[in-house]
Amino acid sequence: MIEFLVWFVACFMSTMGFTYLYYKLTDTKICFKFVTFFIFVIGVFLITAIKYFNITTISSISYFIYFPILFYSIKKMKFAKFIFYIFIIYLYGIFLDLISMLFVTLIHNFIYFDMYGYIAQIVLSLIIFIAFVIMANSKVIKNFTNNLFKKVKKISYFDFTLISFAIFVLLMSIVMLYNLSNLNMIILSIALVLILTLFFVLLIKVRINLAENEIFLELLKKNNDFYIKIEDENRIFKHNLMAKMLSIKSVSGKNSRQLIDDFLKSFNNNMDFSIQIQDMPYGLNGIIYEKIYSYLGKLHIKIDNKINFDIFTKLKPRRYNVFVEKMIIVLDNAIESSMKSVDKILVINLYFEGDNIILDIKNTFSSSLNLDELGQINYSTKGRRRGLGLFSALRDNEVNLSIKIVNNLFVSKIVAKQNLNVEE
Amino acid sequence: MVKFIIVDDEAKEIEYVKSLIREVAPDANIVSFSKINSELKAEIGNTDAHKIYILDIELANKVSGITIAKLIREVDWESEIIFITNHDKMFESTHRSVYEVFDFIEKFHDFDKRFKKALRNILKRNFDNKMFKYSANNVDLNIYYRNILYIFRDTEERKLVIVTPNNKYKVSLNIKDIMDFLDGRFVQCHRSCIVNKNRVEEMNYKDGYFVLDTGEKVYMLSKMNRKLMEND
Repeated sequence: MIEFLVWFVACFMSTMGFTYLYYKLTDTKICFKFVTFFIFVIGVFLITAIKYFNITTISSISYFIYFPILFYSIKKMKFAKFIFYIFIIYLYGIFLDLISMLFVTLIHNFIYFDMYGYIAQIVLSLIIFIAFVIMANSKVIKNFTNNLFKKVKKISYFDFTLISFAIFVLLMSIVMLYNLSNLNMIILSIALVLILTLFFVLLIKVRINLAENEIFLELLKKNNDFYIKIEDENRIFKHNLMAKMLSIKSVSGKNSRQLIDDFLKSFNNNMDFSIQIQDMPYGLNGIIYEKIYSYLGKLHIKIDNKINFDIFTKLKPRRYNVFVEKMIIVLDNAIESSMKSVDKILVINLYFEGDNIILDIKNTFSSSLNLDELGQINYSTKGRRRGLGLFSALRDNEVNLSIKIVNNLFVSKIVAKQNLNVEE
Repeated sequence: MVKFIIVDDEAKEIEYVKSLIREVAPDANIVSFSKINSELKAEIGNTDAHKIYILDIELANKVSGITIAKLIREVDWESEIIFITNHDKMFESTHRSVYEVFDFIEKFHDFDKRFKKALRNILKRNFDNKMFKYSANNVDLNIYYRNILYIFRDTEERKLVIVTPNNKYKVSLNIKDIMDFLDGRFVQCHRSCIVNKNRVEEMNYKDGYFVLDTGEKVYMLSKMNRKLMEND
C-alpha cells in the first residue's frame, strides 16, 4: 500500500510539472476547472495503478494517451498547434528526466543511497517538478518554443510526413539488420518495407503535384500582373483617344458633334470603378476582371471596393478557396442573367463589416423563377442539366451565401468570417 | 407626418433646399446633415416614419450620397430618395434601379422647378412603397406591390405565379392565402387570378380579358367578379 502511495505522489508531482509547463507555454490563465481536476486525479490514479500492477502493455503508452486528454481539457486550440505543444512538452520531459538521472547518478557516486527507495523516488519527482516550474517560468524556453513553433508551422504537412516516413524506414532497416536470422521477421519486414515504399511513392507524387501547383500559381500571378498592365495601357489609350475626340468636337459641325457625343457616351457609359482595378484585393481583381472583360461594352457594370488588403492573409486557405469558388459561381450566374435582362445592370460591392469580408453581387434579370426550387439540384432557368453551381455554392457552410430578390434585383451576398488567429 | 432629410456639405444649398420644401409642404419636418455621422445613421435606422431623403451625390468627405443611399436601402425600402447632382448623369439608370431612386436632379438646370415637381409627385402617390415579402428555402423575395401586375394560378405546377413587368415568380401559396398578404389594390378578377387594379388600363368582360399598362393582354377576367373590380 505504501508503495502505491509513493508511486501516486511521484506521479502526481511529475504530472503537475507537465501541466504547469503546458499552462505557461500556452499562456493559459491558471484557474480551477472541475473537468480538468477530475481528469488529472483519475489519470494519476490509473497511471499509478498501471505501474503498481506492472501492466507493461499499457504502461509505455499511458502518458501518450493521458496527457493529450488532460491538455485538451485545459485549453482547446488548433490541431497542429496542440500536437506541437504535446510533442515539445514530451521532449522537455525527456530532457529533464535525462538531466535529473545524470544528477542523481553523479551524487550516487559520491554518497551512497538507495536510488529505488521511497524517499529517493519522492525527492526525485520533487526535483523534476521544480525543474518544470523553473523551465515554465523561463523566458528563454518560452521564446525558444514560440520561435520553434513558427518555424515548424512553415513546414508543409507533406514534407513533415515525408521526413517521418524516411526516419521510420531507417529504423525499420535497423530492426531488420538485427533480426535477419528469424525468417518470420524477414517476411514481415519485407511486407512492411513494400507498404512503406508504396506510401513513400505516393507522398513523393503528392509533393511533386504541390510543386507543380506552386509553379502554376506563380504563372497565374504573372498573368494577373499582365492583365493589370494591359488595363493601365488601355486606360491611357482611352484617355488619349477621348481627348483627341473632344478636340475634334470643338471644331466640328452640329451633326459631327452629335456623332462624337454618342460615341463618347457609349465609350464611357458602362463601367464604373470606385477605385482602380489593381487596388482591389490581389487575386480577386484578376478573376473579376477576367470575368467581366468580355462584357464591358454590353453591361452596365459598377464595382465598389472598400478592401485594400490581401484577403488571402485574412482567411484560412480553405475558406479563401470556397470564397473564390462561390464568387465565380455567383458572378457567372449574375453576368448571364443580367445579359438577358432589359436593364443589363451588374453591381459588385466588396467590403468588410466587423470580422466579415463581404462580397455583394446585384444583377437585373428577366426570367421565370420557381422560388421553392431555386438552389436545388438540377434546377436552373437556363435549361436542363444545369443548376449545379448554385446548389453546390449553397451547400458549403465554410462561407455563407444568402440570396434575396429585392425590387427585381437578384442579390447574392457572400460572407466569409475573417480568421482571427491568422497572425498567430 | 413626412420627414425630409437633407444631406449636403454646403450650408447655403441646405437652406435653399429647405425653402423649396417649405413652398411645397409649409409644415414640413426637416432635418439636415452635412456628412454621414452617428445621428444620420440613427435616423436611417429608424424606419418608423415616412421619409424623403434629399442627397447630394458629391459630399466633401469620403462617403458620397450614393453610399448613403446604399445604407438606407439596407434597412429601408419604403422611404424615397432624391439625388442632387452637379455633373453628368452617368450611371443614373444603374443607381435608379439598384437603390430605387425617385429622381436625379441637376443643380444648375431648372433645379427648383424639377425639385418641387418631384416632391409633389412623391406626396401625391402617398409613399406607395409597401412590399410583398415571401421566404422560400434558399431565397427571400421582396417586391413592391406597385410592381406586381397580376397573380395567377399555374394549374400544371400547382403554384401561384406573381407577374411583374420583367419577371415571374412561382410560389407555393394558394389564391386565398396570398390575399392575406395583399392590400386593397389587388382584386380577384377570376377564380385563378388576382390583378393589381392600379395597373389595369382596360377591362373587357365580354371577351374576358384585361389590358395592363405594360400593354399585356390577359384573358382572365370573369363577369362573376365584376362587382369586386368596380366597387373597390
